[in-house]
Amino acid sequence: MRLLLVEDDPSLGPNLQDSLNKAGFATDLSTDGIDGEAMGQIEPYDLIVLDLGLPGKSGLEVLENWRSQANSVPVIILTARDAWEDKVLGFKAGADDYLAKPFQTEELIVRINAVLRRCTGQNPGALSYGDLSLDEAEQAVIVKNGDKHSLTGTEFKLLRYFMLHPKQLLSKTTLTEHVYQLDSDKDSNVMEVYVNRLRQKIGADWIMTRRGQGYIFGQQD
Amino acid sequence: MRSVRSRLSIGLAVFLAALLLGQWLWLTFTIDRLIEKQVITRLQEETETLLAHIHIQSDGEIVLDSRRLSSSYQRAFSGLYFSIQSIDHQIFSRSLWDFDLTTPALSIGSKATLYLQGPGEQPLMAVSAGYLKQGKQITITVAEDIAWMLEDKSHFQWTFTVLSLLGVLALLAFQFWIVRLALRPLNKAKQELKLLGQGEIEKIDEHAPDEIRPLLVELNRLMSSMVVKTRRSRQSLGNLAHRLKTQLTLLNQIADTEAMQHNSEGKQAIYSQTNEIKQIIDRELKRARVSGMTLPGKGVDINEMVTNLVDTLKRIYQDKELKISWRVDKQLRFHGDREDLLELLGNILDNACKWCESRIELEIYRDEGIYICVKDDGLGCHGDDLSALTQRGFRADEATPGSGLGLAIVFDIVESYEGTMHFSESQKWGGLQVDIHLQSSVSV
Repeated sequence: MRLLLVEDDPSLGPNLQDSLNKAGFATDLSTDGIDGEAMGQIEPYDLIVLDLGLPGKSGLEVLENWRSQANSVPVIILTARDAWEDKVLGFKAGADDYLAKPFQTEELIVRINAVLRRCTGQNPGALSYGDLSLDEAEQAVIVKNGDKHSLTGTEFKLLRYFMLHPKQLLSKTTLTEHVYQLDSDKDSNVMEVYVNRLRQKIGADWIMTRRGQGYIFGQQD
Repeated sequence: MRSVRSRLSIGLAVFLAALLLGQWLWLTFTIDRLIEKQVITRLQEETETLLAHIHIQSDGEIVLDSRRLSSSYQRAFSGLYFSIQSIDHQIFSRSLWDFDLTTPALSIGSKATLYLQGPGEQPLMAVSAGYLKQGKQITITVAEDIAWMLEDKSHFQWTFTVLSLLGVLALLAFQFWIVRLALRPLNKAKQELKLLGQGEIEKIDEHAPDEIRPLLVELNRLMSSMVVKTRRSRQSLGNLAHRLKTQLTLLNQIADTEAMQHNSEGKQAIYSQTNEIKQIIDRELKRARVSGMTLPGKGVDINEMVTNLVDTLKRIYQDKELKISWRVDKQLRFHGDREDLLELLGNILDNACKWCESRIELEIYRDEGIYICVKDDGLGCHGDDLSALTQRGFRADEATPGSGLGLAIVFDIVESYEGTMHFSESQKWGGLQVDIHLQSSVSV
């Protein structure tokens, strides 16, 4: 899951980015409204966490600009002023959820997961598909017979992306874009290695290879 | 006499009446004097003519050569009379018939003017003069009937009085009109102030006479500076909240660090403290920014506000499948602060959303101010809890921040609009029903 965090506070931003990365979200950080707006427009993020009080351009303005340019990426706004005026304006501008400061990082992660599920049409709660279910807190997968296999960071991100987009053809480039951060070393060939490792843990028939096109996650009919 | 208009009107009326009365008195007096003086001069000349025509014989008898005198002295009761008296003799004009026109004897060279009652009740004016003729002291009196003069005088006085009265009335009407005209800008300003109070206009028209313009300009300046100050203080409050809460979030993150993972008690203590500080900030900031005043502008479109708010609530509680039905008069405008009303409705509806099963009903209508009613189908509150709910906003809440913060804010807002709030059990669904009445200027 690629995430964009737009937060101007010099300590809160990096701290939060760190926590989100640990929670399995490839998170980019932007510290002002103008940069943030451009990044949100260019990069294929799965979700954006947007602070409303930003230098350069206010968060509301940024959000309105995205929506007017038909960018429908899910957005969670962070607001310090817990007034109804801000909530109403935020939702009206096109936010999917809001979180009032101060919050706990766990709370933000719960909200992010809930919004991601909602936006991909899944039920809220633990992410599961068929016999597979994902333990997001421990970054592990539980298979049919109840065995729990812990996953590495990249494996976890990859499997979650597969499970949120079942039965869709996903190219290696798409997977790379949604699993790695902006500044990390991207090599789409490594993806094959991770897919193979995943197959070893959850069973080979979950992920089908389409030669030259990519992968499809899902049960065979 | 508080009104400038009545003070001006009465002052001017009294002054005008005094002026005209003085003029009336002076004019009638002067004209009287003029006529009298003329008559007296003529009568005096007549005494001198008579003096020239008399001759005193050696025995002291006075002989008058009447051939060259006015014939009026011959005709009985003609209105012109004389008497000539010496110490031992006296003669009267024939016109006097048997009327006795004896006047007091005067010393030589002195004169007197007398008003007498003549024959046939004629009002007479007489001039007597003392002369020395042929070594004898004589007094000559000439009298004239002045009925014509009195009649002229009363005729003149009557006409003049009527004309003066008409003049006074005309002038009073004129000054009343002028005062009204001069004070018209004041009335206009009064009207505009009323509109301003209702929030229908944003500033007062400054086109007014020099006496009032500075006042209106100052009012407009105060008004705009009030709006600017309110906006600025809200902005800085917002900034303060933003800074503080960002720091609190950082504090929370310190609790999330690896070092704290083994100290779950400490972690929880930090969480609960940051939460408590957040509640205090929210409570005090929200309380500080409740304005409760009518701001200039077109008023808040309540219908639009509720539409947006219900939309927001449905998104916040999207896992709950809320059925919010609401009835708001489309024309209803709220002339108070927009954020106050939004905060009030937001908190009340949020409370209902939190506790309801699935249905919420909202009604807003006009009833000597604005009337808001919210019902839900939750478990509601019963008996003692209901009255405790009313108490909490004022007392219990300050001791334990965190419980009922939303309602406490609602209380503050209702209070600042001199409104009332009432909790009861909904007859419709058995849930909680909140009735709020605000004394604000509302227009349809």
